[in-house]
Amino acid sequence: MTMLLEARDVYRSFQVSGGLLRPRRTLFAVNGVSLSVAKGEVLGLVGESGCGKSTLARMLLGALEPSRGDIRFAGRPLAAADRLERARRIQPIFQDPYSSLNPRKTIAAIIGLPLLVHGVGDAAERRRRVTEQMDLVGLPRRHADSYPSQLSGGQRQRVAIARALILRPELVIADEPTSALDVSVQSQILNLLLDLRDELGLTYILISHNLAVVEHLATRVAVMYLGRIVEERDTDNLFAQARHPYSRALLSSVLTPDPFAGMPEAPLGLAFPNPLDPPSGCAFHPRCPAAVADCSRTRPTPVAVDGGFAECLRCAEPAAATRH
Amino acid sequence: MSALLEIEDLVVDLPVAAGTLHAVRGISLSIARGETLCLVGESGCGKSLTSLAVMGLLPKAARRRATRMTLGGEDILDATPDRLSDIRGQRMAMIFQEPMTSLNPAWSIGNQLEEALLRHRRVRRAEARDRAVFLLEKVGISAAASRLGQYPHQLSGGLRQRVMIAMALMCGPELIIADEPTTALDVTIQAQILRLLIDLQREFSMGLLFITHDLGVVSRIADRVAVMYAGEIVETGPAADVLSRPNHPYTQGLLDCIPRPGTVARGARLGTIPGVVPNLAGRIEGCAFLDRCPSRRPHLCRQPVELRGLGDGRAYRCILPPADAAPPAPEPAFA
Repeated sequence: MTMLLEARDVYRSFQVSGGLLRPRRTLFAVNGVSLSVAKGEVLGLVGESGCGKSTLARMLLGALEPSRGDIRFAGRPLAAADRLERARRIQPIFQDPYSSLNPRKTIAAIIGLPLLVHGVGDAAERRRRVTEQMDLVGLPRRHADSYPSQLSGGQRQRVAIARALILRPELVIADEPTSALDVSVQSQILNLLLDLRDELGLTYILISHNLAVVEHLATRVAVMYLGRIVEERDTDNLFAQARHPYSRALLSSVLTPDPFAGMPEAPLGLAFPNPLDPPSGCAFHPRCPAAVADCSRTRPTPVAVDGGFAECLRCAEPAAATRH
Repeated sequence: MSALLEIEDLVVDLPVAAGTLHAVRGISLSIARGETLCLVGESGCGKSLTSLAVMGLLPKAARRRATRMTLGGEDILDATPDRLSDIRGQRMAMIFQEPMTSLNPAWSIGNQLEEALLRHRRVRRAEARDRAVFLLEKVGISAAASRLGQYPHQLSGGLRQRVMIAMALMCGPELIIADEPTTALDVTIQAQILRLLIDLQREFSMGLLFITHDLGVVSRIADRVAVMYAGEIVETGPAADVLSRPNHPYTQGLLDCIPRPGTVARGARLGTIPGVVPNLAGRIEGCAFLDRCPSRRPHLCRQPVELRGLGDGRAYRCILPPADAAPPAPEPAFA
């Protein structure tokens, strides 16, 4: 398999103010992440708020420079490509279709803007491409001259998708694309994303906190915790038997509408650790139900497990099934 | 069990530019002590307005009417504003979705918790403080006494929501209304907060009206569920029955929309509900779900459809026969 996107040992830190008269401190938002995405894959990226998944996504998009490490797209360093070329080949879809569309532009102008920026075709050609794009994402043509405020949330997300795909990018990075939508609309957008993947041969990186959505769409899943990928597996393997205790905790928190399941025991302690002051050893050990003395001293390294890797000192030991 | 909250035929109208928006169109429900009722539906179905109507916290312009609305036998429909203000907090309390906007950023946690009690009961501040510490510990906040001086911005989202729950419990209410209290939280924290809420509700034998759009949450916490669509209850009954054998096509449609591992194959198309919610500014004749319904029979569905009781605590608003009419029922058919 050829790798479309490869990140090797990527770090990103931010300087944050420590408060009045206190020295600035360094926050490692992404702390040594390596991942690769093959053409046609759907990589799910999951984790709690503040785990660094959006920072990672911004780097993969080329919108943020890594502090250290390199990212290659289609074999070439991402930083070597100019802004326009990156935008042509990698496109984002954001969570909130209310704030990601310019309220003063018509739908046709919003969808066609990338063509204008990249100087594609003349006005008639652009108009044709926009119409074609509206058909593709299932937007009625009569909305071409409407404004975003006249559209429902689901239709707006279709506009955002149409705009992201009009230059036929190879990689789409979708950050919580359906979490602002009602369930009946969410399912339509998920169906659309799946159809477009087949039709246009797209590769997705899907960031979501909704693990049921990730399980449905993703072929591979990376679980992030405090700036690192702690487990990366084929979707089947992960959901059948997660090896990292954090992944297991995440999976057990998923509430599928199963009337006979009852409430899961919430296995994690209260506190998400302060990323300014990460725990020693394994960053997860203060919340980990399976932690042993060594976990607070030794930083785990990735261990190969079925269909991927997990970063846990104890993940070589057999684990219980995760599905509740 | 006697009903704690009883609502009969609640209507909420909102004046809008185009006339009147019939946001809640005749809702009846009841909650017993110690019972959890989930009100579930999509944006704009009227579930939040229903809860605000119960609390007497509707926007000023809204018009509310009902045949009856009582809490523990006391009328809360025509109660004076003063009395209602006493009932709120003392007998019923509300937990909102976004704790950051419901907590006062300029006041310490301790002050806000104590005020809830001082406002409603004749107690000394020291007693209020003891109760605040007791409840903060109850909601799983460690070193509670030292937290009293902290401000909302110093707490994480999960902790803030725990503080909100503690605040709602200060006066020992009989009814808790929770409007999407976990939607803004991470899944791991959501599970903890739900667990906490249910444990407290059982311990203090409170009624819980829980508003959500998430059928996953409903399935885990609800005793009974009421599914709302376009300002009406379209199906209600014991949660396990409604979710496993829905009678209304809308309930079925919602369930089909959710990726359910094991039930829906990965990457398979999910169910959808085509079309959009009807405009509630006009009059709706007949079934509100008609235009989107896969099983519609237009000539029958254009007439008003009544909520049809099945005798086992279930009811639904549809002309179709109940879903479990076809396969042999475990109990003898209801005569």
